[in-house]
Amino acid sequence: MRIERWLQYNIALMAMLGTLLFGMGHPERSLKLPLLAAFVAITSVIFTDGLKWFQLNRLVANLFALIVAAYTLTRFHLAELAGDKLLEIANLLAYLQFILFYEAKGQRTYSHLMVLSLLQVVVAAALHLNLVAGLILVVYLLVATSTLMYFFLYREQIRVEHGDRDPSAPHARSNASSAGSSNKNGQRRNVQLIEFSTNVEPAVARGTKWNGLARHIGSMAAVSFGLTVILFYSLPRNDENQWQGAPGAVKSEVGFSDTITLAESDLIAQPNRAVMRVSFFDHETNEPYPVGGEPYFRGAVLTVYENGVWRHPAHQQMQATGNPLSQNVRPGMVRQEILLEPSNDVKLFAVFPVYSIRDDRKGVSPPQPNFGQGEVARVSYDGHQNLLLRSIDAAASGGQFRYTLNTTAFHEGRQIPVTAYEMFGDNHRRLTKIDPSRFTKLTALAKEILATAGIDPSIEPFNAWDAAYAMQDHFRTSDLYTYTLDFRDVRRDASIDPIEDFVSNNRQGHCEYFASALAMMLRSQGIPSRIVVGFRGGDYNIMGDYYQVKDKHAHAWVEAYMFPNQIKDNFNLHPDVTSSRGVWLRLDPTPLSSIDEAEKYQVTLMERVDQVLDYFQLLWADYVTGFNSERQKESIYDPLAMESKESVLSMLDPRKLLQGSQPQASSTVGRVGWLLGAAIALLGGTLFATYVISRVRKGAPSSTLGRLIFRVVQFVSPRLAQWLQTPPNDRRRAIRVEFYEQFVTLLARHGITRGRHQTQREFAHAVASQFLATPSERDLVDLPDRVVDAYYRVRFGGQTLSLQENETIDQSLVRLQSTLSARLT
Amino acid sequence: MSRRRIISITSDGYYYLFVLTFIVGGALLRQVNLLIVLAGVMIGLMLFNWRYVVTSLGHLTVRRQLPKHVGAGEPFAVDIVVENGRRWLDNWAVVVEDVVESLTFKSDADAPGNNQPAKPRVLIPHVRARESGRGNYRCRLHRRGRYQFGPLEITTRFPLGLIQARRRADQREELVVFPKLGELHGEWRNVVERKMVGEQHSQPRRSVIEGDHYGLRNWSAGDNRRWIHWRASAKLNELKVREFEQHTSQELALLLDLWDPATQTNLAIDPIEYAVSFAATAIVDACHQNARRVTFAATGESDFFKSGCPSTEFLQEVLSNLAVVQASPANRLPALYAKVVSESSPTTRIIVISTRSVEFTRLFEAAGMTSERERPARLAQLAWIDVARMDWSNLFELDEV
Repeated sequence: MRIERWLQYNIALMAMLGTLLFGMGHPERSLKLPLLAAFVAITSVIFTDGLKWFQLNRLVANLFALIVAAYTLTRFHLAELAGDKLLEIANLLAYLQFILFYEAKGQRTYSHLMVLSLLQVVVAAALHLNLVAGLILVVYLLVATSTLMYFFLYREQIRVEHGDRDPSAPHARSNASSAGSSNKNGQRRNVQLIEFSTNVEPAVARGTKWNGLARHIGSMAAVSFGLTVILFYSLPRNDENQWQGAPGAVKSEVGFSDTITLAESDLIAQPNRAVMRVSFFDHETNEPYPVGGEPYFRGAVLTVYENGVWRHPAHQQMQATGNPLSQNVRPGMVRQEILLEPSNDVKLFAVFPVYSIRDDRKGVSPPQPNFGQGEVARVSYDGHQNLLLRSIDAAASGGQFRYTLNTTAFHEGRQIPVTAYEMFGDNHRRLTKIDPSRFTKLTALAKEILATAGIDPSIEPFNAWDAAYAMQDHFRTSDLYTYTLDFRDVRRDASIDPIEDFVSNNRQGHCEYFASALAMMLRSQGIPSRIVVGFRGGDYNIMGDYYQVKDKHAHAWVEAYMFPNQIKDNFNLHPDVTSSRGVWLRLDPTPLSSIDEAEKYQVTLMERVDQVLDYFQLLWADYVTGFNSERQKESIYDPLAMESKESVLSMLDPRKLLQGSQPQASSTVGRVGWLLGAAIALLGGTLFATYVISRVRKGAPSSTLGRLIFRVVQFVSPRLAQWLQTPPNDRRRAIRVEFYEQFVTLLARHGITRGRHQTQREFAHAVASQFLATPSERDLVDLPDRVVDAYYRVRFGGQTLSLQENETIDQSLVRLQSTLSARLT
Repeated sequence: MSRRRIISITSDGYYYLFVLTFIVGGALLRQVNLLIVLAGVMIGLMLFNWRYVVTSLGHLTVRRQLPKHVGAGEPFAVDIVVENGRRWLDNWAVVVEDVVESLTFKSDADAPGNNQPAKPRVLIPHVRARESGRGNYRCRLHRRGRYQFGPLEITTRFPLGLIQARRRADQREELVVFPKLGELHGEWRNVVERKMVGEQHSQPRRSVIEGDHYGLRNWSAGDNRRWIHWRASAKLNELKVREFEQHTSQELALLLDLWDPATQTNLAIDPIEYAVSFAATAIVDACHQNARRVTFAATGESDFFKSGCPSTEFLQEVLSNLAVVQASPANRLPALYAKVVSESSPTTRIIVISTRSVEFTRLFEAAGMTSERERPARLAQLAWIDVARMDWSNLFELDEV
């Protein structure tokens, strides 16, 4: 197939992939533009380039381009956000490609199409591309490399056939050097003195197997990949300038709500969309911290209940609690690293209590107690509403958001049910607020539960701890209540409060009903309580040691406040906390049967695949799109520095050398970082060694470093040094005659091969006798002899074939090929 | 072959660098990670291209295979053979550029400014390791003379065309291009066989009738009256002359006189080239007709004389001289004529193809032939063709170039 045709296919594919990348990074994730690009590319390849039915006139094309430019530039001007302006530029690039696709193609058109596509990918790279888009980017780069190669071959073909000028240029001259000469009867005119022509196509068709190019593309891809890895991970990052994504770009809403409305009447969906990924590490050892059970990730705290709606109070109504982020690290802390999916919500989730990861013991003070992307990614704590927040800018960036916090919530691998916070008097009043007239049955039920448990609220000190657990157990273990997400058949009594209805009439509901009922029940007995909404558990990813929290893991539970004298089990909380402040006791009244335990622990094949993909998505986010100075330091610089230091120490200490050294980094980050570092070192070392060997083999190394290395090699292995100095034997080569090779190959394809004992002439005779035996091939009887004659002349006689002879042999081979092909059919 | 490689960035490479600079700038200024990836890949590709072209030319040798001789205007193929001395690495898309330059017309005022060397290129798509690849270009040299081929320049831009490596092989070869051959018409035979009477042949021819009588034909102007067959003429009431069987083997002396400047003419012709082609065609014809003996002499910048039996070697020597012979204002014709006469037998037909006209008397005197008694015989022996003054298309026609 002609090189230009391959080029056209490649460029069409490049344009399709480029536009698809842009479409995937587009806020609307619209497929309209990629589909249009595919349509344009395919139809233009068929009808414009192939059949030449439709080709835009250059003038018309330019006119279209002007109109499109004017349209998009107007929109560019009207766009307010930088991201929208960027998208308009990308649209313009796509439209210009569409116009060029329908033009008659030449070198100029092809190069413009390539550059426009590349620029479109540049814009797409500035958007938020996920792992799939990353894979498409890899494919795009391969196709782009292939396109560049075919463009080069196309250019080279033109350069050879037409010289350096563009053959499509209107005043292109022919290949000739001219001089005064004469025509018929010596009539003088200015004619060409030297005329020459080169037709590349037959040479390409006859002598080349272009499929070997795939190997070169592979080599190029490997080399480029290696260099890209080195460049990417070694280039120092500056987070202050880091691109935060196109503002106004895609915002994937997280299915989390900071209010509870108890008025469902339909089937509640459980979307499987990812919200965040959370990894736990032992802060001391940096090892992954195994968590038993399902961790509770707190989002919002709701304290005010009115008419079936839970909300948090107005800002000024609550007194602020202390800022846990300002507190220092404590022994036994667990670090939680959270990567939040794109969302425009400023609220963050974490296992509480949270602390800054600032480590005063080491004298290291991170710049801020928050760790996201760049300076705008700040994490703060709203003490009035007990919310963990990020900045509006960080939320608006549209990208993933990473933050790291410490927590004391875990003890021996399990999340303890208490958290320690101060509570002020005013808050106590609010947290026990209940309208007894609306909750008569609920209050009565609470008293009944306490009575059953043998707890008398009137006796001081009130055993609030046991009372709270008794009420929780009432919901969790009683058969009276049913967990459901389907409210289509549930008819609430509108005349009473939904919670009252839930505990007395329709005992069906989901976690919000159970939590609401328990919270109100606790308040009815004077125990301060509040609702907490967030996420419980998540899909644990074994490969990456992290929880993938999805929308379906959204949950509501209750926290009851226990005064210091009411605490029965402090779960090894710090004595300072429990002695003066009291604790929040986490209660989860939702029945256990709501979670299908069997399903939870049986991981299907699809889920495993999903886990693998998700892990790679996490790596993509961590080590490609979200790679920043902090991650570079912890993944590349620190492990490399540590390894270097240990290597030097090992070299100085023979005992360590004999024992060998093991990589110390064992966290996911550390492991990946160590692998990356090792890969970079290996690649760099290989490249360096290759360079040195190539220099040495070319002759004596001229540089001081080269000489030094050579001396070392000579010292270590004199034989290796000798081998290095031996020049490659470049004289042992056989000269092959192409047309004879082609002749032999053609015959071999049809099972006719030359025996080892046969000379070329004998082989020719044998082939001729075969042709003679077949009536349809008798015309070819003389052909083998003629080919061998020519072969002997060239191979052994050192002669060259004339132009006519070359052409005759070419034609003969074509005839042979067609006849032998007919034999097959 | 020169070991010196010249590595340069191609125009495509500069374009690529421009786009790369834009991407690298964006990547560094705004720290867009995927742009850094893109920039890394592009840098990698460029480095790969650089490394590939540097290494790939290292073990390539190139040679040219020229035909021994060609005629002006005849197409021929020049084979270029590239041998790859590497053990493993194949070579792809190797371009060999040749230089073809006329040595004859280098200082020729006839072609001022037009004699730019031609630079044909050959693309050899694939040269396997330890093997050779072959390509060719077709060439047509429209004027006689000596041509120089070379030096050869081998270049590669594979695989992406961003970086180019060049290496020069100082392989220069010369090719002698024979004059363009034309077509001789039937009248030429008459001239050779002394049947033709031109303006220079006003003197009566020799009375000796050579050959055997075999038939009659109509009389035409210039026919010797002695050949008239009176009886047949009287019977048929129109003049009939006798025709004689021709001798196929005779002696011919061809003398090319390239006088410069040629006689001024209002015809748009190049009399010198025309005369050279005429002479070359005549010599080839004489050799093909198995003339008993052929003598060729040419006068121009230098004199040339060759006499002998027709053979391939004889023909090639004469044609080689004709390929390079140049016109001259020096008048050395009489001396050469005298030499031709002295070396030839009295029956030898002497044909002078010239770019001027001379008076035979003066020619004879200058050649030292003062005897009046021999003059008629000399005149009968001599035929003079002044290509500048007359249209000789009835004798010789040169195809359009």
